Amino acid sequence: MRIDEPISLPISRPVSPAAKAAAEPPDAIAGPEEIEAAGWKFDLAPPRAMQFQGLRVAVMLDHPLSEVDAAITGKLDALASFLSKQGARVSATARPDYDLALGHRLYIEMLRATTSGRLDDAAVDHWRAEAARLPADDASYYAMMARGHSMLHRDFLLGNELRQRMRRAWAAFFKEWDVFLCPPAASAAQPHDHVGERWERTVEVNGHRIPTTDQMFWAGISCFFLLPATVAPLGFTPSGLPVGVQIVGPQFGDRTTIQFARLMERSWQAFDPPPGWD
Amino acid sequence: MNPTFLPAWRLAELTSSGEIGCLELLDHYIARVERLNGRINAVVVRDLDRARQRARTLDSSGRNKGALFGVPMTVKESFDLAGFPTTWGHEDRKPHRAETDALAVQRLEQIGAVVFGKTNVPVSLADWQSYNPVYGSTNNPWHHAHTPGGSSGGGAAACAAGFGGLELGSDIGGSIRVPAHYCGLFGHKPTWALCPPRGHWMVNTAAVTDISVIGPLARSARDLALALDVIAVPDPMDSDLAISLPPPRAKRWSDLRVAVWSHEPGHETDSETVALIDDLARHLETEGATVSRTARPEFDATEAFRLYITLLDAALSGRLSEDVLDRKREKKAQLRSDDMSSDAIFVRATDLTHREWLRLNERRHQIRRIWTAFFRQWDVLLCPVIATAALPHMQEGNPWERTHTVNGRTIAYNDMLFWPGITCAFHLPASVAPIGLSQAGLPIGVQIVGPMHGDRTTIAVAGMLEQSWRAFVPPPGWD
Repeated sequence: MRIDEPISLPISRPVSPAAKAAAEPPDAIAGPEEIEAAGWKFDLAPPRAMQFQGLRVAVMLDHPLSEVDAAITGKLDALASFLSKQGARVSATARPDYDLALGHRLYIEMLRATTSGRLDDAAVDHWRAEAARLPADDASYYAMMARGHSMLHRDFLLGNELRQRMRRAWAAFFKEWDVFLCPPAASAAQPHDHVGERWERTVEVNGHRIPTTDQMFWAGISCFFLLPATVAPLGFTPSGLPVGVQIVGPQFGDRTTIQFARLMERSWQAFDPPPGWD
Repeated sequence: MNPTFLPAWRLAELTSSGEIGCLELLDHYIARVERLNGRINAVVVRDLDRARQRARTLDSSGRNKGALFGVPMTVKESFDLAGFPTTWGHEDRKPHRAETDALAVQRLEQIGAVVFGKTNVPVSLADWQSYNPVYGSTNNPWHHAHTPGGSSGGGAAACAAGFGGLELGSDIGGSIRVPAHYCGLFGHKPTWALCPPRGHWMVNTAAVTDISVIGPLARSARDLALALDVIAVPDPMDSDLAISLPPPRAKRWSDLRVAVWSHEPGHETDSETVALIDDLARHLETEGATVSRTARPEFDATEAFRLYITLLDAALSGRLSEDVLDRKREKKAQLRSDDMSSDAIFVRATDLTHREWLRLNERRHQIRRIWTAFFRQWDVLLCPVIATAALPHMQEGNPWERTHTVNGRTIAYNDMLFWPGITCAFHLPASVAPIGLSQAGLPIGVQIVGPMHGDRTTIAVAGMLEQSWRAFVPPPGWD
């Protein structure tokens, strides 16, 4: 498939504007920028499958590092059963072969190293002192952030080496599986909470409060390894807020994850406008 | 016909047509190594049984005759060759045995090359002289009192001495370009990240090192293109991206816009080198090229040089031992703030925060854009490879403590990183072509720099120089 070719859908129903929109952005905005474009060419692979039948789907509902609200896990579990009935091969236990907790720690530390360019000298000195004050094995978000903001480039390189090995573990994983489904966050939209610093805030999950930053686990599980991830609406919480599913694919498997979202849109949950916005 | 100094593409013609057998050609070069290597100590690992078996297989199969069919060659010691240690000159690495061949070695063999050994390097590949406690010291075949360069120094010496048809090296601070220049060879430092380096390592690594590249050294520019074609393919382990290098911008001088930067105030370059490059510029004018001696990319050359040194130190900092780090920290504490020597900049980069690196990297990308704008006006830039022709052996102390004399002036050894660094820090491709000899009879080359992914252009220009200015000449006494 050429990059400028429209994706043909083997379905009789007309494609909704929403799914069309989801398919178009990579076509329009993907591709190397000017300097690199002299030599690098993108030719994204077509979707691995056009239907659920035969698709190999790994599902992860939850992780000890980030508890997920039952409103999401319940719906995700129901989706997994539905996919099985549709003829997909579904595993609730298949995982990439690396230490997910270490991957999360590297993600937060290297993310906060990557955003440290915005800090001034005094802020970096502050975070260096905080990092020195806290135990080296402190895996709280605050400690990881302090280490990241003051990270030496040498340590960034060492972390990057581990990250690149984890990327290879993901590449091996996606030889066995076509998509990896997981929550995009710990809960549905949180109530406004502008008090204090980000790392001090909590969110209610399954009736108790957990740090909001825990759910960065679900952000990092895909983006730290440079993988594509599409989100599709999964349903609604009892209080009527939307929740979605994160559909992770192999590197450059963007068309596969978007096609999966299209199939969900058709047979599971399409976009519903919020009430009162007609 | 004596095949010794023929280019690799010509050797492949002879083997493909059956004029020479693959095993016969391999044995010719093995015999030369066995007879003559003692003079220069260039080939330090020999994998003769496997190579002979491979040559026999090529002779008997007679099919799929690739572009390097039956061409015997060596690779830099820093590449994995199955069953042999990859030491990078470190004694404690002697017991190591590589499990598989480096990816680039496999790829060269896929088009018919017969890799029969590995060539000498400096410790940690961190010098323009190739000596170490594992394998000893390598001499320049043009003059034994001089180094063949480094870090791909054993490889350049072997290729110039006629110990094989082609060499594979690596470069982060001139390590392909300087040995090619010191030994009168063609060499190519590819655009960064073009040729996957898997298997060019001391320990198995998945991440790619900033600035560092792998690339060929040869007796003909055409060989550089052949080798590049097969190694400039993404690592299937990493990527579904495709590379598609644009063709050369020009094949005739009259279609080519050439900027010539033969010297730079404050960065001493030997007057013989400058004069040869200026002579070459005049020649290109008479050939019809559009030539400018004043066109420069619009950045401060000294700033770019200092940026390079810091980025180089940062790129290598992940490999440094605690001993080395402690020594650098101690030195950093004693450094005067106005000391802007290359060594001071190196030392100052110790314990660089990632935040500082991001700032420097941003500046690097700004300068990359300035280079891109420059290469809209000019097709190639010709400049020196390094300050002088081959250094005399100087093995005392550490490189950063040494000095070199250029035009009667004393300069710090690492100040010579200027010409290699102002191009490779910005990930640009650069080919080297031999352009003449110094009065002392040592080769001098020119660096042909092109835009990002303009590798075929710089190699094509090296080939045009080979045709119209100077081809490879064997060193005296090596027939």
